[in-house]
Amino acid sequence: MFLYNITLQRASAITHAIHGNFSGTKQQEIVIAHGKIIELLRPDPNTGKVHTLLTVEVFGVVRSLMAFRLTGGTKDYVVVGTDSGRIVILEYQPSKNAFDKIHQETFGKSGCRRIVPGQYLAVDPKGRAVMIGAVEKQKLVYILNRDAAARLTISSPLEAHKANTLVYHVVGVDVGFENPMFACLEMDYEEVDNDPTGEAVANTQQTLTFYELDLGLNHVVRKYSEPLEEHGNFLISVPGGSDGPSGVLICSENYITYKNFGDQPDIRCPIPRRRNDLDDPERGMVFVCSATHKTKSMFFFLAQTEQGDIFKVTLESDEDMVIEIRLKYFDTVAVATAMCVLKTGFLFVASEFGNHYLYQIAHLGDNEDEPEFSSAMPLEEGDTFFFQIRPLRNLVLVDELDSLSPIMTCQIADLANEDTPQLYMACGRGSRSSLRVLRHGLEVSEMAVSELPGNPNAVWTVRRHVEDEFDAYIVVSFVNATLVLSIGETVEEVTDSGFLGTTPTLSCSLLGDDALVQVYPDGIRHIRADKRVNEWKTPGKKAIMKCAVNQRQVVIALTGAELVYFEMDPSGQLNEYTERKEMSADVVCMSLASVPTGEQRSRFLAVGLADNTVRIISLDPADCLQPLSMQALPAQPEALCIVEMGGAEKQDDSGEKGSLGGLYLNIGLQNGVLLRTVLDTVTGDLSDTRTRYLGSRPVKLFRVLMQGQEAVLAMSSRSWLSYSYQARFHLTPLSYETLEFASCFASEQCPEGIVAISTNTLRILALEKLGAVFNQVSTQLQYTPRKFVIHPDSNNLIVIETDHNAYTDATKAQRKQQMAEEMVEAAGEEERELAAEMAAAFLNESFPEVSFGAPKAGLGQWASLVRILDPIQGSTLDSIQLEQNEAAFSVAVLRFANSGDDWFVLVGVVKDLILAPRSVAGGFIYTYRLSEDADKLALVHKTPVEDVPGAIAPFQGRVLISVGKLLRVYDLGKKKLLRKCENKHISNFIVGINTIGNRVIISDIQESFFWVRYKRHENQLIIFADDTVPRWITTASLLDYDTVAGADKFGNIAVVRLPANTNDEVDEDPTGNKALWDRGLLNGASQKAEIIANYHVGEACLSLQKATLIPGGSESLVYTTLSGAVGILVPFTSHEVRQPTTRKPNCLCWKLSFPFIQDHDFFQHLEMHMRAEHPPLCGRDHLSYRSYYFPVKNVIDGDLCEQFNSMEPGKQRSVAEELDRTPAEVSKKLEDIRTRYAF
Amino acid sequence: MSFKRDGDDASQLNALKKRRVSDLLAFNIPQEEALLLSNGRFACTVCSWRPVFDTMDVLAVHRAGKRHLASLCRFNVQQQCLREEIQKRRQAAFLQEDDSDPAPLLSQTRHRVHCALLRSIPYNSCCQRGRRKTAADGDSTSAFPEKRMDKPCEGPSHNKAEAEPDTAPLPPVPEQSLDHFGVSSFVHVATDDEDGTKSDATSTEEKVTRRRELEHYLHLRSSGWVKDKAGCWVKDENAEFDSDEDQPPQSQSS
Repeated sequence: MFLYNITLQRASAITHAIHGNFSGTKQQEIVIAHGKIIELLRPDPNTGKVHTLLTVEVFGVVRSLMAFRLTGGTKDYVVVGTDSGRIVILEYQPSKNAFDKIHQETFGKSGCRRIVPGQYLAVDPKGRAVMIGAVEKQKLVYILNRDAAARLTISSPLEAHKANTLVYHVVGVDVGFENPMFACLEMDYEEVDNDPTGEAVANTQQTLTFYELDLGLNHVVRKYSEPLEEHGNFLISVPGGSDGPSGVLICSENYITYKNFGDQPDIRCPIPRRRNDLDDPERGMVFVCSATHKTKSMFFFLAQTEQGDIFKVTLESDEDMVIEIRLKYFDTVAVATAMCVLKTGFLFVASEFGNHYLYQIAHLGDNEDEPEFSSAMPLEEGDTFFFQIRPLRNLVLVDELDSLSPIMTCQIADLANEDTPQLYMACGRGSRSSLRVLRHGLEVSEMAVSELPGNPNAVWTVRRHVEDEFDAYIVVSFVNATLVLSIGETVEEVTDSGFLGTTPTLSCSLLGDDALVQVYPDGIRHIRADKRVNEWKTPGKKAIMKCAVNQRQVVIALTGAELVYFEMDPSGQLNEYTERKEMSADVVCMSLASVPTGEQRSRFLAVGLADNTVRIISLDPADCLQPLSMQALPAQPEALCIVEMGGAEKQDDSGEKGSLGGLYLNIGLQNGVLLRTVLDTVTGDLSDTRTRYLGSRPVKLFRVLMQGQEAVLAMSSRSWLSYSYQARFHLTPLSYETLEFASCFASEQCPEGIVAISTNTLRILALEKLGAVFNQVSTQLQYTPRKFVIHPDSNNLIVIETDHNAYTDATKAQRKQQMAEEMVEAAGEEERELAAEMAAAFLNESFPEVSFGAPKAGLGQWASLVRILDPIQGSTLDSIQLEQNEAAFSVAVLRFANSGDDWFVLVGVVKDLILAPRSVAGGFIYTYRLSEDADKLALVHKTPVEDVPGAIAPFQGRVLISVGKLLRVYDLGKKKLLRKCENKHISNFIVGINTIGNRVIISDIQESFFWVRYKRHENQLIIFADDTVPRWITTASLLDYDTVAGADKFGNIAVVRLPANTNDEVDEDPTGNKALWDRGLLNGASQKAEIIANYHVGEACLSLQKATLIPGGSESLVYTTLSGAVGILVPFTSHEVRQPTTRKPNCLCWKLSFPFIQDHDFFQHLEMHMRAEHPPLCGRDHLSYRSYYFPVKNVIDGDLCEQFNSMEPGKQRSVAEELDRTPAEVSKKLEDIRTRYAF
Repeated sequence: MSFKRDGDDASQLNALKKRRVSDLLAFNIPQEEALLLSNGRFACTVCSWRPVFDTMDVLAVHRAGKRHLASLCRFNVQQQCLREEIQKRRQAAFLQEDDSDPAPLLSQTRHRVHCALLRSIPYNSCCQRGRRKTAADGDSTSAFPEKRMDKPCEGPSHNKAEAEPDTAPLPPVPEQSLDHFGVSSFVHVATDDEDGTKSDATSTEEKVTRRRELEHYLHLRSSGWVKDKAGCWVKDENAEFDSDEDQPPQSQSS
């Protein structure tokens, strides 16, 4: 079996975020890392929308990311620390829309190792040096400079190693233009290591160490080291030189401390805490991330606590001596991994879990009523300040980036009866968790819907002048009339536009700079800017059947298949070409390309005829109306659209948008098929046709603008958008009802939208999330969803949600009550009344946990609930809160053979689980009877078990339940579940049970799979085979009777299969003396599974399922990862024969009849060439990355193969030549394999 | 050091030869006389105390031993009794059936042709022991032919299954106490009606009852009841029961 990996949706969890001017213009951009992906975002300061400019998969783990700017430079570089054992400096090239690797310096072995640098990066704020550090011992400093041609140069590394030292954080200290200095949080463990008594551990202190790079002597010295009182978790560099006092802020548990060289005394301020917080008061509070904002006149820091509260930190200084730290509560947002304050007044928050946000900073927190806390305020040791949380005051949410991370589990099923299955995902953590329903399609935001007096046929938008940013009119054509609406504050009908209103319209648009043209059945109306109207009337009894119009040209087809061509001359006059052309069959559709910038005309006209052909006709004055090429079609064409796509997003150095894309002729057929053909811009030849079935209705095509590029809206029974995004063609359905006609639309409120008609309504729509494969509908959940099952009769979901470190609602209410009582009791006699009022106010206040987080109850405190959810409506039908400290771990819905047709829900619950050191007070299996409508749960009984019930699976009318490492068969009893049979020989802890026939496949948490056979006549569960490799299985899926696919927590997916001669008829030892020595080889089973495929995905996969994603598609193995990625592994249908070295005609026919036969061979070679020609960006070897834990076997990386499309054309050609194909053929194959299985 | 044998010590050579021959012969151990265990070892099914051996060689050594040979005599006697009993019953059944099948030989041939033409056993996820039985049904009229183990841990050999019926470990129990050995005998009986040759109403009814009995047996067995030496159903101490469940549930037929 050979598999091909396709990523459907890339990871969305952000591990690092930095900001800077990466394109070298004034615009601020954000670079984020998603683990193995680097992405460049640009927040639009006008609309507040975040646009993704570029996404690159680096096939390595990004461990640190820093923006770097040379002294006096205007452009930021990206410094990346990865697991490649190399430091990489990237430069963003806006003209190519790509990252260029300008330096790659090797310093160590690859992999995330203790002493190989890569974990920490720090740059000198003045842009002279960069330090890259490891977790232990090694630190290297590189001096960066520029050469005569202003190119960035990098020195050889200078060592700043110190053995036996652990590093917690590194920053570059801003010392102005003195020697660059780096501050490290370190801990020296040498003494501890050598102390046999173990007393030294208690006395070891963390130190703050400064390393100075002596630029004169060209070496690094350990300048100064100072032990710290509190254990710090990170450092913030304070602006220095002329901008501020320099030094660092040390964030530690409960305190933030300012430190600097010289006479500067330490300034320490406690971290304020929430007033009346339900959290465990003994828990310390730490800052988890920070952002610095610096202007010429001031600077401040925003620091976020682990509860999500942001504080604005300012320093008060007196003659370069800091005297005070001031903290002021700013706002509360989701807990972030990184925050970026942009110069344009935005705050980008990369959330730890769930969606990411872009806020506008509306106020700088200067509000007087908000109390300010200062280090100068006298406070006793251990005491702290308190503040009151409140809804957002300083921040305004402007954009939200969807993130599925973490995907806890996913099931694919068509529960909504929509033909295409939906992906049901349990996402998120704690109070920010949700159940999301994902459907393939672009999300459509409906801006306006208005009813029209009748059923319109068509709609266009028209600008008044070519320079205008927004459209002026919406023209709606009815059967016998045309309605003109003007776009302004409101949309209202106008009559002074010059358009003829008493006739239906065939087309209308802007002509030249400021004229308008209206084509109607009886003629053409040319409206000049000064409202002069020129009319061209059709001759005799002929009428205009079809027309095609662009900025300067008009072509019409008259009755009798006669083509008439008009072109605008420089004076703005519309002139008819002297000849007319008669076509051989009726004209069904026509299309003109837009006029290329700087040219007079578009050179090609595409005409679709009733004889199932499309012809390209030249409009060049040299051979005007001469046919250039023809393409036969499988069915009659319905619509044509020539667009320029691909590469238009590229921008040259001056910021001018270049158009490097080619022309594509899109042909919509009457049988619902869309063809996309490359139209040669010189000869007009048609080549490289791609086909896609869109729906049951004839396909109509409309040219629209998406992010400044041309795109095609194709309408069949469903609407699709064909667009080019990040060098890849996308054809995505719109998640919206059927539309009939559309045109692009721009107004102040909606700068880039679509106006469309659907029956008798006019709709204004916006498509904002280009590039997204799925649109999602989200339902809020209370705790982290762990697992869910689908009740097959009602299609309802039964979800178990469990959180550690959390309170149940009951405990929360109880604690609140208790706190209120304490409040009253603590008050003196005269304050009693006031205290009672305050307590009442406290009891009444409720802040949504979604934005303010749930209270942390302390370790060993669990809260869970069982919920029945209607996934389509998103409504909760029933929910059962379990008691405090009961944690639900497993769930199943099943019928018992001895209880008739009733459905039961079994929930495995553990009581008082402490994670480390692990201890359990016991567990229960709750048995609930599901009501007839599957909307209520009624508790039947509760069965005690000894350990964690990790997995439950129905089995032959009974149920298999794992209890710790025990596997048991239970039957339904009257008072409890009855244990009938047991196997005690699984190694550690059972995390999953899959059954097929009499076979049971057990996933162990650490020891991969065990194959167990249930022998009914002996009532025994017998292990007959296992795996040879230790895998820390997270999830497994059966592929067939002998084959199982499993994912592990290190991010690998493996397929293992029992050999053909496996015998599951083995018996348990009949002597019954299970002595220690009487086990198989190394305690394993005698028969071993074979490894079929191995692949390192790079992110821990939590769900695997065999599913068909598109109707009529083939089955694939779908996986979802913790970081929010969705991918599939697809099998090659066959593996055969090497491809012929020379292409012969007969061989081509053969290839057509067996298109998949050589796929595997082809892709394997492509992958090989890609590895050599296009090595990963951050220096990690692709093959070794995909073989991180186990050597990659029988899986081809589609992500790498698809980078073919983003390679330079020269390299594309050479790779394609090696494969004996053209680049177009290669990218067609890449597209084909994707569309065959997914989208 | 070389692995070449030095010298021409004839006795050693003979010893080696003997060992080699016994190794080769080890593969000839009939499948019914040994049992592959879940841990990859072998148990001797001939000896009543079921000794367990690590490898095939040691099993072969055991099979040459005195105690085993003594057990083998007993075992053979038992087997012989069993075969005779089966033959007797077949005869009885045959006489009872009269001549419902006008041409038994013809149908037998037809069946064999059908079996021979099958390229592989039709897929059946059920227990394989039973499957092999099904195919073997045709020629198990006279006595149980002995199947040799080709390889110690060979799995279900599909293509051979038709030609060589497998008798697997079938305990030497008369057929009236069918319950004692569940699936094996269950399938054995069940196959008779697949034959299509004996479609007498009374016998069909009998088979249905028998099947129901067997189903009941399996049901009891899998819900934790075991038979004690006296043949009474008692609770397995490792299984759990409802507190009011003192007697095993009765079969529907009885």
